[in-house]
Amino acid sequence: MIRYDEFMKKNQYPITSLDSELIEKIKSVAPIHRYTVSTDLFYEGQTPVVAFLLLNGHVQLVKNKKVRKVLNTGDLIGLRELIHHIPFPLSAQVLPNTDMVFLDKSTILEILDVVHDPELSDVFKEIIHEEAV
Amino acid sequence: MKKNKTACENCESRMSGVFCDLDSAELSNISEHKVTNVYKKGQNLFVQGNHPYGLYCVSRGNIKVSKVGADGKESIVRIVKGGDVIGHRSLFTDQNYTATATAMEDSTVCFLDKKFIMKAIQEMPSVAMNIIEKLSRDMGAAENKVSSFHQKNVRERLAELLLLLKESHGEETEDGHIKINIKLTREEMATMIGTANETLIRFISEFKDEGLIEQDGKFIIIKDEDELMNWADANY
Repeated sequence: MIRYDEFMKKNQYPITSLDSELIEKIKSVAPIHRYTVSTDLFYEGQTPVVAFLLLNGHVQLVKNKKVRKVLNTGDLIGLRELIHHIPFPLSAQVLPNTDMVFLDKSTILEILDVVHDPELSDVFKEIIHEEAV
Repeated sequence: MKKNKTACENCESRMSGVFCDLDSAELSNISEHKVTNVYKKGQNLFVQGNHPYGLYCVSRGNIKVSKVGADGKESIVRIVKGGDVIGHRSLFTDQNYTATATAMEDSTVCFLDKKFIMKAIQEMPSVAMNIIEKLSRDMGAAENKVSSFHQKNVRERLAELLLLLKESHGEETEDGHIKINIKLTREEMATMIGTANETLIRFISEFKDEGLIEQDGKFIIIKDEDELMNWADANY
């Protein structure tokens, strides 16, 4: 385990990219939603209320009113921050006609408890334990 | 790096919230699961048209719930304060949000996801009863608002709004008057009673001239509640 600040230095952005097999598994346990209006998913310094997986469309991470990163399909954000209740270092904005899966804390805990899929559970445990306190 | 979050047991709005009847162990379970965030003035909790994730419980601050019409005009549906919940209607109907919730000042808001809150409702009847009570109050307020828009003129609606704000945000001053402890712009007040800014400003001036209210910076002080009640034609 490494500390969160060390994790941030190493990874620059707290994003996890998932392959298509894992995306399908997540889609089978959590709802897909299309954002029809431009929305702030969360603001810099806040803990995301759910974790987000981008399926298609446009999500950008913003700091000081500048776009720092545009997410790719299969990018997962907010999982470790939600479970450990830590602030996300950037704001996330979604543009209209973007499809995302959102994972609430109850669903994540079910996945970790292997209610759904053992492989998914292992991946989530790895993401969550990539950082410590 | 861990963020501090206030335990439900220590929440300043605990006794007016939907979890007020729960014991320490039950509250501890909720504290463990919830996500607490501070929303700065102007930041949105959720946006009209999006899908609901769960229930928001306001711990501190004021949140305006507003709808934007086809013409782009915003109208404030209601203002929620510490102890109130938001997003419950969309949560139970599984419909997208029909309004946007925005912090009117720096506000502390807790969030519980839908699965958790549904389980809590099944296992803890008092939570269900308290949410039903809040929904019923919201419905009553909505019914009153509809009838006011049909039956009352702007002056009467303004008097009614001031009395409603007195009930929700009123604080007694040293000289025995009531200070409405919420900063609302004239535009926001105008949308709450369905009138133009200019009309609202004219009636506020009239109320001041008649000694019904006075201004203390950005706050309104109610000086003659009885006369406002006569104008509002309401029994609060």
